Amino acid sequence: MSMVEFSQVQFTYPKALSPTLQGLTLHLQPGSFHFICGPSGVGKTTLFKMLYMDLLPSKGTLRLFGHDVATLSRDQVAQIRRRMGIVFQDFRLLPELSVWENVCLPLALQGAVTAAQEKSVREILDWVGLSHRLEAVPEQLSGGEKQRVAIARAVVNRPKLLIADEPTGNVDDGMGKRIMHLLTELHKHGTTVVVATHSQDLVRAFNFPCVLLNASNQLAAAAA
Amino acid sequence: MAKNPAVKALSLHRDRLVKLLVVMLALLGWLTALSVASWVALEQVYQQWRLAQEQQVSVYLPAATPGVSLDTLSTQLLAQVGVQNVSLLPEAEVRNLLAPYLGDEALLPLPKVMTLQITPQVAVKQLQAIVQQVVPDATVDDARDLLGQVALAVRIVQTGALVLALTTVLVVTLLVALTVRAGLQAQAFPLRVLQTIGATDQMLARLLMWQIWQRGLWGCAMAMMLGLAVVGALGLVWPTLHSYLGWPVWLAVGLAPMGVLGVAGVVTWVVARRVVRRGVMATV
Repeated sequence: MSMVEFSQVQFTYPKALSPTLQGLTLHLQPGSFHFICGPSGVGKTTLFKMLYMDLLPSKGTLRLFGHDVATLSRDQVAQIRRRMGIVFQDFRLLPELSVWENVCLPLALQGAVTAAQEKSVREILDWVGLSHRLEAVPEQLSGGEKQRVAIARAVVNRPKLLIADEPTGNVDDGMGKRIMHLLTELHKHGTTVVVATHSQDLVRAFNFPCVLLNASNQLAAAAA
Repeated sequence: MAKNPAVKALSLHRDRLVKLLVVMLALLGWLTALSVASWVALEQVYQQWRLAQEQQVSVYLPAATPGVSLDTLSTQLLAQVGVQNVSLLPEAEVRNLLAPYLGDEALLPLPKVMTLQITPQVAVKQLQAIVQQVVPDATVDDARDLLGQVALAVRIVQTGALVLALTTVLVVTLLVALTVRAGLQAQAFPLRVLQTIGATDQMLARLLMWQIWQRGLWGCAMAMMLGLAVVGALGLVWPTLHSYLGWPVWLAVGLAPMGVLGVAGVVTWVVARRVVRRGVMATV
């Protein structure tokens, strides 16, 4: 069973004259790593939003973890989102919260954070190289640090699926590579990873399949 | 690190409207407490007065009524079923009662007032007939005729108090609804992030309700203290009111603000769930 299944998916924004995505069929297997590539405006972010169910298909079927997203209740959507980690280009860290609190947030939603979970958070922050910045708030962090906090927050629940939208878009090349190494390390531990990017350099640097969206909004290719 | 990050993330405490909510809830809770307490106190006053009037009839006799007639009348009245006691009001008491009306005429001979303790089943017309027979110029004052009118007046005043209480509850509802709505609009970003990482509508509503409830608790406590202070002061300034300010009044003052707090909690829950469900926040 695929972890992610797009079947003839079309998406049209309200009041838009033409669909942003159409005829999209894509199956992602558990444990895989895929890039979603294509120039800006081709629909990568739309596809990304559909992956975390912020948008639902106008036509066709999208199944996540075997569930047809169109039939899910709001509570079920929330439950599935907890099985996913999401990394945004603009980080989406909460400005009032420290690094520690931002990373603990997904755990706190499920109740009080236990001592074991706190230990796990420390290990993750150590893994992303931020164990020395626990009390810092986002505005005190560099772009690379913010993105690593976002990754730590995304993986703290040990997600089965991690999706990242242009995770290296707002950081320099060196930090971009470091972030990609973190994501590949997660993949090695069995997490399914989907990275949306428009950077050909990034795709070339890492030897993973690339799903290419072309300008006519069609899924053009899935090539290594 | 002790505070739950989810609560901190969706903190309404920085919101000016939420800060104002404490004061508003204190004032509205206080108004509600006084309205409900007034209703209860009026009911107590009315019931006490009704009981007193239902069991008492006064007979006004001319000043020149001879003692023999008084004795005869007293004996005949006591012989009636339901008349429990007949007594003549002391002259000093009658003088006190009439003092405001007599003025300079204080030396005039005073009428005599006979008080009858009766059961509610007594036929007053029968008593009137006996009085007319023994002392033709005497009159029987049956305050029970007034009971209906007084009851109506009391009910009207009580309705006013109830309307005031309901109005304040309505204002609380609107105020809390608008505050929660505005608070959520201001918290669109954290709300969206929390939803993205798996917060359910219920969780978010609970986080908001908890915060409003915490704030409301302060307002409720202030309202309660203000209300109790006012009732206490009334008892001190007008000691005659003391007998009407029994435990039901104190209880009403204590419970009404808690009712307001309950309404605030329910409104927060309903509005928060509706707003979160409808997703009025623009996509961040």
